[in-house]
Amino acid sequence: MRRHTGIMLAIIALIALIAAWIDWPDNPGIHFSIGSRDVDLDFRIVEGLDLQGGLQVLLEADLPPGQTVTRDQMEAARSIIEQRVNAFGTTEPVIQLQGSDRIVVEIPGIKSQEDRARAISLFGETGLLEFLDTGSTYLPPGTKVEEGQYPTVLTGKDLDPRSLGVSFDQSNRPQINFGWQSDAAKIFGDFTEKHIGQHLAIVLDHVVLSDPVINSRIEDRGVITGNFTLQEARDIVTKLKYGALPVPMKVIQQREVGATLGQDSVRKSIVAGAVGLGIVMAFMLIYYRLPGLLADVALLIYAAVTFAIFKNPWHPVTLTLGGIAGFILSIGMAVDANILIFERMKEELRGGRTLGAAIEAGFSRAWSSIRDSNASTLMTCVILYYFGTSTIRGFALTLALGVLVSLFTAITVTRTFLRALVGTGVVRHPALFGVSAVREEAARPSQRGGGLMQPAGV
Amino acid sequence: MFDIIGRRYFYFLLSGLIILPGVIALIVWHLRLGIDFTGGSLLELRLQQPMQPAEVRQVFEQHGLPDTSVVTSTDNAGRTTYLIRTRAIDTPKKNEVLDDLRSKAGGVEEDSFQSVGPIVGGETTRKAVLSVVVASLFILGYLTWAFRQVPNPWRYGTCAVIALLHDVLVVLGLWAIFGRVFGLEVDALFVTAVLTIVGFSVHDTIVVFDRIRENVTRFPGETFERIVNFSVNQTLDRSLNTSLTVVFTLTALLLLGGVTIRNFVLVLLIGIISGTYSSIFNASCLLVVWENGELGRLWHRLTGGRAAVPAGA
Repeated sequence: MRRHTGIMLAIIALIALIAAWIDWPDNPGIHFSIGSRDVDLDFRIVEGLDLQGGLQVLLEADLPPGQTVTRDQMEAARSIIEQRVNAFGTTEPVIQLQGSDRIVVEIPGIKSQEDRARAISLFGETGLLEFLDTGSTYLPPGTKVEEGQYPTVLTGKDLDPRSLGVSFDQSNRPQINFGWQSDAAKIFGDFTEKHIGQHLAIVLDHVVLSDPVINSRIEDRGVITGNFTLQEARDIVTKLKYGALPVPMKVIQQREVGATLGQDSVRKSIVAGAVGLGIVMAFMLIYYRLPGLLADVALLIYAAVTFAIFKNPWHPVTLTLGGIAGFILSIGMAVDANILIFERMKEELRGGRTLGAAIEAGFSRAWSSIRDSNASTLMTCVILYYFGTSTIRGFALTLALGVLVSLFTAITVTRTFLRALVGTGVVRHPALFGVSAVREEAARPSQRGGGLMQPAGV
Repeated sequence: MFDIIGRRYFYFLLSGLIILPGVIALIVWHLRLGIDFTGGSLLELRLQQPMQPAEVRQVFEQHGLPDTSVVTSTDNAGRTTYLIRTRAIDTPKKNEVLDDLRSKAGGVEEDSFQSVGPIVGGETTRKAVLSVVVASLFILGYLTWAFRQVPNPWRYGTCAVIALLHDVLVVLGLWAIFGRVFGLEVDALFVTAVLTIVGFSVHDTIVVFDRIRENVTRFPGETFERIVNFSVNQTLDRSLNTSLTVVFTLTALLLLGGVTIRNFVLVLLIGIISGTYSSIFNASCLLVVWENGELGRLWHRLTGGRAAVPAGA
């Protein structure tokens, strides 16, 4: 028994130390290599969109009624959007399928209004390029073209992605270079040869970019000119490079968060969390004395371990405002198991048990309450996670993690501490457990309330 | 020992008095739903040169957005934030309006922009209702299973669910009133708060029920009413202390945390207090009422009375 307690103490100390090390703000991570295998573990806080600012957009397949989208099409759309977003050059974007016809795009850290607007049009627009035979009609740039209004010669699919680029014409306006894949080059060559003197409209997402006159047979290479800026030309190249989306998408929800708002909230929430933690610890100490002090140590270990889990390098928990609130709330709930156990211990002490026996009985008898009540909280968390949006999910995840870690710290850690102290014989007096003070109080109501039963040990 | 169960009808009355105004407010005024449910856009910004909310609204109206509302709030540092609500618009449209606003106010700093399409809004409402229902069903099922060794285990689950619906009603009703009086809106975070309250309320009720379960087997000769009263008293310290620690942390968040989560924390705080009340004064009392068959007697008296009226008339 004593040896077992000693081992447990050592394990708890080790866990606390590791957690504290991971929590250290300037944690360097673990980097080493065994033979040819490199190990790179970084422990850092992943901040959600609401904390570091950025853009979140929910896209939905935009099809005429009656038509449905397939899983493959959505997968393809997702990967195209991902490539386009990566080309935009931000850190850690998240692009996920949601449900059967939706894609969530989260791009943290986009600061300026213009960049956000540009990003949405870059990844959200279909990017369907068409070369249309408009015969002798000239369509000025910006004209909208109905589907099937003019015969399609070739589309963006026939372009050779490696040939795409941006260059400048004689008057230094940006233009887009393109080249055809081999089959398309033949078709294009034949078509231009037969239609010299006629117009060929280059149309992106049903809007005319330019409508030049064909001067001679063009085989494999060409340029697109139009009224676009360098930035716009580059974005068109990005769209053409990774192909058109297999289904048109429309924006059905979007969130843009400035970084200042989030940082301000984080700072305030940390202060609030520290104050809350302090008050809870003071309360436990004053009300439960020695066990309260041990519970306080356990609570600190709880906070350290939970935060360390947030920073794990494999699946870091994305910290959102909801998540921080869930974490702070769980500090208040984490001591609940301790309160249950300590109240039970007091009862057992009043019932005349020895200290050691009361401690063990307190833990074993409080267990069924702790199990059932926490099971119900965990169930609620699962339901929240299942139905929730990203903020709600962050909250549910941190709350559930908190409940699980608190079971370990409030039960295992506190029990080991108490066993260790009682085993050494340092602690004998029940007053350290706040019992003598309660004893007279317990006697009084029994006269009033009719003295129903003996509290414990019946 | 406090005689809690003996005054059960007093506590039911008290709950009723708290809930009734809220329920009336819910029926008459409804909840003030945010864009998460109705669809629309929410824009939060600061202006270099302060403008009147009406002036800001005018700018939006000039861009074809007549149903725009503008609310201002000032933070501790004295900066004024404009909270603008309008119909669902996209980024180009928003930038168009902001460019115009920028020329009038010297500079515009955009803190956040949200736009929710009406379809998504409808889904959020459905999901919110569904998640409360599903959570209740799961809790009912789990409690029936956890209390399978005592007679009538489903009664424990049902009473716990009634207690949690009590807390949900308290919060919803209060928010219907707050929505009318202070303009507080219900958003997706509100749903999270309500579900957390559901979890906490049941958490609290289970601790009391667990003690009843233990005492029922320990004292077979006692009346159920006395056993329940004893159990509630035994767990009273714990119920109050746990609630206190949660109330401490939430109060710290309410007073010191950011504005963004203030409403969320307020909902939680009210719900947790209600949850503590309902687990002490409602759930256990209901259990006694049910086990004693008082509901049946009440029903008989009521229906008997009603039947007698036409007969006498």
